[in-house]
Amino acid sequence: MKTARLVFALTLAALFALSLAARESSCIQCHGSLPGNFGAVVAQWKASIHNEAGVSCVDCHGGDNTAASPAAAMDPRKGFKGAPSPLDIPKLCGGCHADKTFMKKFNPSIRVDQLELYWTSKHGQLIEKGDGHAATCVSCHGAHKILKPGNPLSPVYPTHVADTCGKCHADKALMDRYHLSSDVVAQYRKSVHAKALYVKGDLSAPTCNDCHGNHGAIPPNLKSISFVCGTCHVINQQLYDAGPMKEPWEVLKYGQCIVCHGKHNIQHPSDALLDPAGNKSACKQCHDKGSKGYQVMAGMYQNIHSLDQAISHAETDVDKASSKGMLMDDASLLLQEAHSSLMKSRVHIHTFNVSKVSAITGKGMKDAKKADTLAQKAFRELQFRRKGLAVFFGLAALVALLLWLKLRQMEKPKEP
Amino acid sequence: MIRKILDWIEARISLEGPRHLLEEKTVPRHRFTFFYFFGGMALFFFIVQVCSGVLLLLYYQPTPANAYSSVKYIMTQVPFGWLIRSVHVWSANLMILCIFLHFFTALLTKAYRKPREMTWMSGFILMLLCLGFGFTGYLLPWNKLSYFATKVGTTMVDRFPFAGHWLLELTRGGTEVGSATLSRFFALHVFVLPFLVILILAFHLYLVQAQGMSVPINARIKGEIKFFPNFLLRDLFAWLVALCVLALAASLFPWDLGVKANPFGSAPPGIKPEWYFLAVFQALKFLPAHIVRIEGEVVGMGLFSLAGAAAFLLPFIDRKASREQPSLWVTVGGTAALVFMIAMTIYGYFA
Repeated sequence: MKTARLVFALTLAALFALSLAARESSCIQCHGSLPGNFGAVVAQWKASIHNEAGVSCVDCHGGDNTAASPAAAMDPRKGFKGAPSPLDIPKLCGGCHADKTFMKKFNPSIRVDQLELYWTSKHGQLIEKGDGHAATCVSCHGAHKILKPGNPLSPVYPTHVADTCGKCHADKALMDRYHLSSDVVAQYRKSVHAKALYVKGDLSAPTCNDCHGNHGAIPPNLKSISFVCGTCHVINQQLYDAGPMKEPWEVLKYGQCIVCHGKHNIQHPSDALLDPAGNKSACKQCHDKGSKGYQVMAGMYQNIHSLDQAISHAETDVDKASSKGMLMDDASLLLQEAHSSLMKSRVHIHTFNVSKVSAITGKGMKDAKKADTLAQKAFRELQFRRKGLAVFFGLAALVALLLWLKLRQMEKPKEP
Repeated sequence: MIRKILDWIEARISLEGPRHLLEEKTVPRHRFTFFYFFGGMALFFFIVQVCSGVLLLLYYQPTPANAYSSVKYIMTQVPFGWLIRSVHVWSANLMILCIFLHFFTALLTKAYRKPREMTWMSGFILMLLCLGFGFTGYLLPWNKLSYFATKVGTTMVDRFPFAGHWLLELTRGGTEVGSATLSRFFALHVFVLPFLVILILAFHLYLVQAQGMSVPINARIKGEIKFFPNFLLRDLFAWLVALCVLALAASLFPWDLGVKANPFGSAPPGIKPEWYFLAVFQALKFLPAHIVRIEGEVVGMGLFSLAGAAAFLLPFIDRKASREQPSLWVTVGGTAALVFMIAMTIYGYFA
């Protein structure tokens, strides 16, 4: 009997303890029933990575989440801070995110240098100066519904970055305060990079933070532009750095890659950037007709354009032969080689050296010509086949005629 | 000179039988006489198959590493190799077409009736063996399309009740289509099937010669054509037409080699079998996933097997035809089967 009572008492105690553990904090209980933004924050926090990691309201806002009354829960004497000021946010978030020991509990390889980088950014510098309009952690990551950057719903997921930056950088009134252009996001959206990201769905395509940095966001220095572009366009950067234009452009304070390609609205480069006869030539911005620079441009264009034409011509012939049932694998392989040379020559215009470009296009021309020769051979073979077929049909018709005559002769009614 | 040779042979063996066949045999003349040419044309394409196949064997290498490149070598480097390979593939397709025509014309004119039951059954087996030629030969170039089509085709074997998986492994020589599958298909294609076909074909032709041509029930006979040389010359004319069609197709539309098979690559979208399997393939696709708790494909394969068995045993099922009475249900059933096959093939081709 005693044992039964003991088991009953222990069960009751366990159930009571469980019910206490299951009770939600007083913040959630009160705010959950409030209308508008005061109530919405509860659902936002519940969906966040902080909820998953066990970071609760009091960890950021202070106060006592076990207190029964609102006054006791939000008592400044219990450390309640309310909504932190933008000027305090970096340090508030950094309190955990810059703490190596704390953060490694969640992920041993997590970065903890965000705050350090932030202070190097334009945003951080403005906050340090007391400008509360500058972007802080919550401007990009959100305040309550903070998601992992890899979550497609996160505002810092690659496809959302331009929108997130655009909240401030497309705001004309705000940008005017800093004498900055407010159309950079709109320009970016027209660029080849944006097309790769949004149209092709290539998440590795650059968006704002890939060139400007994220936590340490700053406009690239004129001297560092080729390094920024070179993170993806490696060979172009190497060729430019070893080429003849780097030094004079540094002296003239020209912005390296952006001189020809532009900044935010970067378009897919075409041979028109070199075409002396066209009006899109980048070189002609500075080099007049007859100048050495103009001749280099014309020479490079001539080589590349000739190769492009030769490949198109060979491709047409090879396709024509293929469509007639000829096996053109070898020619296709040569055309691939020629295409590689064309691509390589377009990259090598960053040497600004006609002979270097010409050496590459020369190899491409040979391959394109070989492919075209194979196509011509296939056409001759087709002609031969057709002639052979015609001869065969002639012979077949003759045999058919002889057969018919023989049958006619055999089956002719015999004269009485 | 020929007379001297014949006399020399006759002094050693009697040529009475063949002489009697050539001198006495006649072919009835009626409005369906031209149906008789389809069997001969199928035979002609089979001879072309054997000759071109032997030539291809001189260069073909039946291993996954070399099969594709050896066919490519035949098509690009060997003099007239492109023509030989193209002739081989085109004649295979034309042979199967002629066999189908031969089958349906024999079916609709009730040529299977007594005393030609064995001719019909041997012909039916020959048709199946020729489809086997098509299936095994399709894999040999080891290109992407043939590899995945074989993969899909052999999977059907797995649906076979009880022994399905064992049969699949037996067909493939393992769980996947690979080197062992290619070796098996090659052996079947160049040795087993030709041996069986030649054996059964000899029996089939012997029966045709021994029993003479079947005349459709109630056909009005307009006269007789001497088999030698009159009908044989007409047969030669038909062979000449077949040769012209083959030459035209092989020269102007050389058979594509495609790209080399990559077992680790993805299957090409909308993969389909060769046209002669397309009707069955398409019909199976129309079936629901399950029919009375049995897999739809299993039910479909079962129905096709039953239909095949019924066609094979038709001389014993259609008793009316044996009594020289028109059997309407065979005509309706045969026509429906033909229309179904044509419709499904066209639908499958454009689907």
